[in-house]
Amino acid sequence: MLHCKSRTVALLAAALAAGSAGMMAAATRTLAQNTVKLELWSRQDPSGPLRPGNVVKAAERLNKELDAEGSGKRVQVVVRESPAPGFDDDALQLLKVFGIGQGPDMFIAAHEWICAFQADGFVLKLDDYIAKYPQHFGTIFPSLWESAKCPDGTYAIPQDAEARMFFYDKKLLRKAGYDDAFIEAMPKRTLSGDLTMDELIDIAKQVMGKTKVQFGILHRPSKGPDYIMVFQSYGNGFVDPKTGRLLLERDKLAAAFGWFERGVKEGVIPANNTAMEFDALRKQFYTGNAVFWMYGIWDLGTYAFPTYGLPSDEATFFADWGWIAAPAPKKGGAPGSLTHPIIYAIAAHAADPELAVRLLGNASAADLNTDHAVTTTHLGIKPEQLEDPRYAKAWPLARATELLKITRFLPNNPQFGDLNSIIFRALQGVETGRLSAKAAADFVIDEATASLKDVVVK
Amino acid sequence: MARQAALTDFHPRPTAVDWDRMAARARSMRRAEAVALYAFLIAVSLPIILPYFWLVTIAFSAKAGVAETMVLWRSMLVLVPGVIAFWLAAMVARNRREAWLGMGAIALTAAIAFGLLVGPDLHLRNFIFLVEPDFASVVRSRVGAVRGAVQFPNVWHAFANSLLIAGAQTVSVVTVASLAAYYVSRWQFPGRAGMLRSLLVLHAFPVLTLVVPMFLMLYWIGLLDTLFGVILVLVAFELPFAIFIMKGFFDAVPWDIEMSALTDGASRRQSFLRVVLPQVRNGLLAIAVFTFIRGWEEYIFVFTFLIRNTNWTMSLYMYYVRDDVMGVDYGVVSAVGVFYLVPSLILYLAAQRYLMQMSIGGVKG
Amino acid sequence: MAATNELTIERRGHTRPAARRRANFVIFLCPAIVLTVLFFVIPVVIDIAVSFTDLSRSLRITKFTTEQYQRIFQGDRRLPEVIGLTFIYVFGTLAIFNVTFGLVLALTTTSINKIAGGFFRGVWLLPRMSPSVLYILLWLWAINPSEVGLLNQVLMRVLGLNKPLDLMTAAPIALIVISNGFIGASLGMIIFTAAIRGIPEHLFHAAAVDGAGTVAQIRFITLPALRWPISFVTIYQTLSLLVSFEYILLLTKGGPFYDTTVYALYVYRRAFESGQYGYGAALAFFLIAIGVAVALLGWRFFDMERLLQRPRIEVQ
Repeated sequence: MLHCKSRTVALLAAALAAGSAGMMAAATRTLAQNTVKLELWSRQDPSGPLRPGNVVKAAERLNKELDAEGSGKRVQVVVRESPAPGFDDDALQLLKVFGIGQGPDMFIAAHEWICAFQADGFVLKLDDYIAKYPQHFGTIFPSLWESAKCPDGTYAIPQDAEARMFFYDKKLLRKAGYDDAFIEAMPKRTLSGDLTMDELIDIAKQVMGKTKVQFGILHRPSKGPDYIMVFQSYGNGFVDPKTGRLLLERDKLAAAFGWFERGVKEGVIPANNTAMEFDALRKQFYTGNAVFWMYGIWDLGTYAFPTYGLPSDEATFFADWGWIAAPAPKKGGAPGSLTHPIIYAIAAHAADPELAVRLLGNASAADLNTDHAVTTTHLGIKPEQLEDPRYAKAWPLARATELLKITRFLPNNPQFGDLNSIIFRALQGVETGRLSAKAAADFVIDEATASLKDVVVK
Repeated sequence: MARQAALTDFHPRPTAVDWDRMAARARSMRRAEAVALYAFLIAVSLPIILPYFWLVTIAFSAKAGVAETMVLWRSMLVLVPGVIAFWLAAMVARNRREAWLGMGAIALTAAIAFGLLVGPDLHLRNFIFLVEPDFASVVRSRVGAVRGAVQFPNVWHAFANSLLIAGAQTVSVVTVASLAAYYVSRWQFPGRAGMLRSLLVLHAFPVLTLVVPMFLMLYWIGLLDTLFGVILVLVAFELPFAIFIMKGFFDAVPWDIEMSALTDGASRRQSFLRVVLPQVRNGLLAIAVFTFIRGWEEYIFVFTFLIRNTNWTMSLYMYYVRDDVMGVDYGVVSAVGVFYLVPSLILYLAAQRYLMQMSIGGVKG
Repeated sequence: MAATNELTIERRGHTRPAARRRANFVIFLCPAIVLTVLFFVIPVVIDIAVSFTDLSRSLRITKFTTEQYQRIFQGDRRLPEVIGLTFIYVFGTLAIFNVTFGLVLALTTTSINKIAGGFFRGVWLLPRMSPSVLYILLWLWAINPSEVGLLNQVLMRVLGLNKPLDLMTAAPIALIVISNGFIGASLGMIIFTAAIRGIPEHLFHAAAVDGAGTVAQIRFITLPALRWPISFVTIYQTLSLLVSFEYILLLTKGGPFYDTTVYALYVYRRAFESGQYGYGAALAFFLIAIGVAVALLGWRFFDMERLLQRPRIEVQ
């Protein structure tokens, strides 16, 4: 008897469970119909918290828009943070993730990697969408779009821009005996091509000789865009303009490596620059232990002002500190600067591409972008931002905009990211004395031809 | 006459052997040897002791994130003379009571000195990550940088994952290995010799070389980026060693015990569970401890197979905290380090007995 | 005796039908066999297969080719250096730390008071027992190139050095040898200690009575007894040094330039950092082959008779 009863009870319980499960599934399905979850992959980056932050804010705006349109859809942004230490490592990680089919719906990346994603079919072509929403994308600086394009179309939305330069410490120069006229003339001389890369080494050497300063020229210790500025200065474009293939020119590479080699030989660049820590390097410069610091404008807003207490008033700042563009290789040559835009991109398999585009469009709103630009000292993407009083007040941005006239981008070749790792390796070899400048150029060419495809060597 | 004198000069008169002096000389030579040995051992062990001790001192005393060594040197100043005094007291004391009195007095003085010199610097603020998930912004706000930039997962989440991986791995390895080892030890079956030989080869197999095909295999099975996949891989790689050790333990259990159980009517499986397994408890414990420590520290497989950063383990957490917060706050990193180290340390101390007294069986001689 | 006992029980009427015997086999042995085949044998097969393809970051195989092997033998300029470095690293660490220093530690800690000896052995086991990430973190802090690093503190305050030393740039190979050596010495230490403990006391007393000093005792009694453990440790640790790169990856990431990229690390980097899985598989194949060869070599040092019959592990 009990046996039968327990069986009936069991059946009833099963039916009840199945029924409620079914109802819940139906309920969640109806709910799910309304809320579209979009996953945003973002690198943990103290110099850009609003990059994902703006997208989250944009979701609210978009939901209001959708409400006003009477659409039942709502969007929810889930931010997936990656702990990668740099944009290059992050891009490699993200490529792996896409490779196993687990990619996010949208992501934030450094622009030069976009074509690597495009080559494997991971990102969505955006030309039509961009044309469809001129209110979001119409006014973005045309030159910035260059950094979001691959040969057959636009695959990303520019998120910000910046300028890279050589910061220098005027106090140290004065202590070393340079007069004010010389110091103040340095930026102008650089722009006119009068100051050269070699003179930079000489100045640093003299300062090191006359003061107790420990370092002459410091640069980033990890893979990145900054040192490419020097290579571009020496004429390396890295891409053949006619075919779009990677181009390596042996003597120009050797010339660029030669500058680093000379710097180390003169004791101006520390041999273990690539082994030091980022924060330690910054500290050395901002606390007056280095003459030049090759980096970018956002370092001011992210670290120099808040952490190291550099004066945030324009006049006071320029009394003791300054910056110059990357000098020309020889007198009369062309100076340069580097802009490394960060981009938003949408995955090819994204859950709702239209919604994602509208979301990123909202995230690119002038006011949100100015929030990001002003708090972390990046350059904006739309001309109307220049009229925002906050932007005008941020004098570093205004002064850095001057550099945009001579700035270059990193090439958007899908293999450039890998080439950059090879170049960094070679740079490390030159600075630590393992390779001579010529050997470094040979190394880059050998490695590149062995591990990359379609490399043109001259 | 001169010749005779010369002869007697070459044959000195035999003297009585001075046994006391020889004994004293032997004693002092032995003492000198002992001192030299101790000095040597202390000298080579110092490079190991110092960094660990430094970790602990930074965790409990660093302010504003600087890697201070003042606390370290000050505690060394107290501890080193204390230990030497301890040792001298033990050597010089004439009987037990004096020894204890001496050591007690030294301990008291050392404790007071420690409290005075080092005490005021100790604090627990670096352990903030245990209670505050967003500790990175708290830390950065201490040094005035941008707030809310870095989101670290909760450390307890990483702790739980590490515990899960290590625990699941341990349970699986102990189970599978003891089952297999018992069978190989107790049954004669075709292929037994071959299996034992391959066990030896696998025991010495370079598992890290298989990372690349492992990655691909997990991807094709669909277990990439899951904790389950990582656990499976770890279990498989620990198995040969575990089976090897367990077989030795099973072989040491005398047949009589099992025979009496079998004649009493137990089945083979029952005798395994009820009779033999309790006998090899030591082996099970040893395997369990080894495996757990291995799983707790596992880094390469976790790093390579967990791609989307949805699952954190303590080893990953430690690695990324070091990278991110390092330039800013040594104190928090050390505190995380101490938190990560403690379970390993406890297990290691508990298992010392087995580590020291095991010899690898099967080696000639 | 063991076999007859089993047969006796079988015949005594506890009839084991064949099904039950097979069931026992499945329950006891199958999990282990399945896991081992799945995670040892199949990956080796996969590795060999992949090494003949062009598998890259996109995880798609487009063609079968021998270009990976061609590259190894002709095109890779880094490879000779890497192989040379690997030899130096493996034999250096083995000779200096794993075998020699392990021996020294075993000898010294067994010559003093038991508790103190146990304490020092415990200290030397600490690197092996602590999590690898943490151990390397301590190393990084200790060799920090500024004055904050422990090593520089000692050098500058105690030994009076002027400028802080950057060990990672100045002597990276020494760095990886020492950091791996601390870990390696502990295994040798344990095995040799156990072997030394197994030498009967009366041998030493007899030698002392005959006038042998400490050095002579070591030469004529201890070392001969350790001949086989030393060979075992040498072979076993050669293999494990050849293959492990975990600590090197964490500590120097391959070193300034390629200075500390040993072969195993080179495989890892090619595969996972440059995304050249096919090439990595080809490189790994050689490592697997060497590993299997050395393991087979190690058979000779195992007493197969004892292993097959009754290997014993003494727990005292």
